[in-house]
Amino acid sequence: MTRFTVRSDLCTGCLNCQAVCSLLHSGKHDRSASAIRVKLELFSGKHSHIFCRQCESPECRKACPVNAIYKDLQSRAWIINYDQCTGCGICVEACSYGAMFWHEIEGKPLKCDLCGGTPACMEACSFNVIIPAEENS
Amino acid sequence: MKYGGYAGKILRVNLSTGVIEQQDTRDYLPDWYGGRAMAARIAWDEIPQGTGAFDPESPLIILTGPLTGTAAPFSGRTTVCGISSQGYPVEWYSRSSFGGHWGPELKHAGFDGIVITGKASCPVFLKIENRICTIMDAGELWGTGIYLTQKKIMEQYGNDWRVFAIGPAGENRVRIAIAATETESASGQGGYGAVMGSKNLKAIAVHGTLPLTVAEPERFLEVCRLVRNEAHASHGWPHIPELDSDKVKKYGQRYQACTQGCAVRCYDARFYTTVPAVLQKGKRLSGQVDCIAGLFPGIEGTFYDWKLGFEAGFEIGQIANDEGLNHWEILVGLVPWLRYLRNDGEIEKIDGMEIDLDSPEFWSFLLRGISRREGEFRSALSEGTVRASKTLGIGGERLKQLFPAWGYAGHWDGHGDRINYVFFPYWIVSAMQWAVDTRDPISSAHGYGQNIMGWSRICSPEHGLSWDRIQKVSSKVYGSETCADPESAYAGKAFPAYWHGQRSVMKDSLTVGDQVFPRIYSRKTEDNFARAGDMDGPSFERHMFTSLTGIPWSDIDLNHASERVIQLERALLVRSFNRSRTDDESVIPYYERTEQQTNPHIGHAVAMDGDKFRKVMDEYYALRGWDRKMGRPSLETMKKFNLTEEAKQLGDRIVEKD
Repeated sequence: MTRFTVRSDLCTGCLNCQAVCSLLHSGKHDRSASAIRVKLELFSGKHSHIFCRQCESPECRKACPVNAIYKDLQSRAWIINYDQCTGCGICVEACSYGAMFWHEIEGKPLKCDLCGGTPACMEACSFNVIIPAEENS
Repeated sequence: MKYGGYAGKILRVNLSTGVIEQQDTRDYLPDWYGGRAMAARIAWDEIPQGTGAFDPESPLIILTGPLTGTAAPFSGRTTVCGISSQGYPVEWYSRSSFGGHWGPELKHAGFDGIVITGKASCPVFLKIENRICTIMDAGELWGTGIYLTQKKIMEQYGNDWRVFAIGPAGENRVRIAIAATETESASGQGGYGAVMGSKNLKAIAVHGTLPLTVAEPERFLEVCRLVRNEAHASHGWPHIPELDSDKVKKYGQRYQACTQGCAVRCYDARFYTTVPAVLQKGKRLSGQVDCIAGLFPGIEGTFYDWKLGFEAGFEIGQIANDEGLNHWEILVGLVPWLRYLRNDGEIEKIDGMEIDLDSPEFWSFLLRGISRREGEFRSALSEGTVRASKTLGIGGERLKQLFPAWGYAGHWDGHGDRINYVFFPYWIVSAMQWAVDTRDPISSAHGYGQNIMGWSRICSPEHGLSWDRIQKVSSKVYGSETCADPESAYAGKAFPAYWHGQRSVMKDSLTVGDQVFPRIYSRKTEDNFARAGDMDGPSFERHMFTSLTGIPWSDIDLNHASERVIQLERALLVRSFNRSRTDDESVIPYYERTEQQTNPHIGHAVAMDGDKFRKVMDEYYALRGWDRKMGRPSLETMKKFNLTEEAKQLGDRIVEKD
């Protein structure tokens, strides 16, 4: 699987996707370490999600002044090379989906890495809200 | 030692003095490991004898648990404890709980819980963000409903704030007042909304970004994955519910988690995105309907067969939420009681309005009048149905058909609650749980009767199990096939009541959802005993707890710590309220009426034999280590649970040995 999409209209607001993402990537329950974010609308029930589309030609990569964002050949996810990343934050501004996040405590950007090809958020969602995206979608 | 899962601090707020302090959560760890367990310790240490629910000294204890807000499935709940205003015959120490996303938010704001004492001189709310708490003026919020209160605070501070609030009912110290968050997550039973109101505390708004540590991240993640995948449906039941296609099209019906971390399709929890209002013409409403709220429209062919219809029923349910009233009391107690009195010819009108349960106007008049203490009759009902019956001097006999004890309407008891299907002998365990509690016990004790009935082929014709299989599976936790045998009568009923007592503490302390845990029956294993990876179903909570916190407890350790909470709670009731076996036995007359449903293995409806039930009580007391005569922990038992110092305060009210 090379990217996923989110059917927000089916989301129940359980937030399991956020919880497992942050736990897997940071070893903590740290919301700001989650690369998928659920914006709950408690009174309308119309929740929305912020997540990386793994764009063909990503703005974040184009904006990076030190070419720290590369494509992992196995998962085909765009990955941040933190050895090269200077923490300038330009990539965060560049993403039109708002899916390049800034981790305040760590002082660095973070994005979805597809967990190497098997996204934990997808596995944790019991309602099939997070599903593989069509290649041409 | 730092344990994983905990935020690390307990917030202490004295609203009389304005003093705000932070206490290290580790003061209570690991023994009093969260939620209800920690609250019991705080209550024992801090509630002065003779404290009434509305006294400024009466603490409102709001606690999460280590699992709250983590990747643990079904873990979003928060426990509320303190002197209960709904409690009857006296206001006494009890508990309640609620779901939603507020508890997890509190933990990310840096606190495992809040203990609030005192009384503010004017209406206030608490604003809590990343370890900073401020007492804010709530003058403009006072008088508004729970929904608007939340919306106003969220408009001011941000959509990602979570708010736990009271409505007019809480402000007016209505004894059946809730405190709630979102559109359907309430600390419903107990009248803690009125306790908040008595403190001039309108709301608690929280927001946080602080991380929570995990002792063994990989193990915890794997345990959570296994537990999540093993879960079936919301009640641990075998068949998976579907949405109502008509309501999906017409009202935007959808699944909605009633608590953070819920990972199953629920039988009860549904969100509706657009429902036309009947009373507020021209408006379209949205909100959640959980659990008993599904009864507001009325259900044809049942005891609750009023004809409000879905749209009006939805609106009335939302009004009750917004005003801050207890759904269970209204639907299973108060309204059926009023209907009895009307049909008996005792009353025709309430404060000048004819009782018409098919009329949304009547329901609105009734509920808004109760929450605002309007009119003589509705003001009396503001004290709860049981107290109202005494005040008004009517309906005493009918009360006995609906209210088992302690000022609470029936629940999974085979008698007053006629929406849940449970027949003899399974309600004997409910009766035992009712007997020793201070409130409706089923909020955290669905595990026995609901599970057995749900897994039977009576309730689940296609996916249920044979009685023989249910008995075999249940024997793994109860130690005997008798405990779930449909023909067992009184035999083997004390142990499940005892065992589920500890499990209730566990759920309210960790915290995890009562409707799912403990996992016992399964359709995913050959022998139908719930199991995942290297874990047995009843151990799921312990595995999540140990891998999250690093507290190296066995099942026996967690069970012992949970039973210790029951001993301390009972000791508190003895010390402060002189609780005894006489009180416990007061539930018996209610059950001596004939049950509502019939066990097909027996062929006729059954009433409790009081003498036989007293023997079940003897067995239960023996299991607990309580003396048979008084129903109190013996000195020997208190020592066994390392409560020797506490026992000294009980003096000669306890005996040496049980």
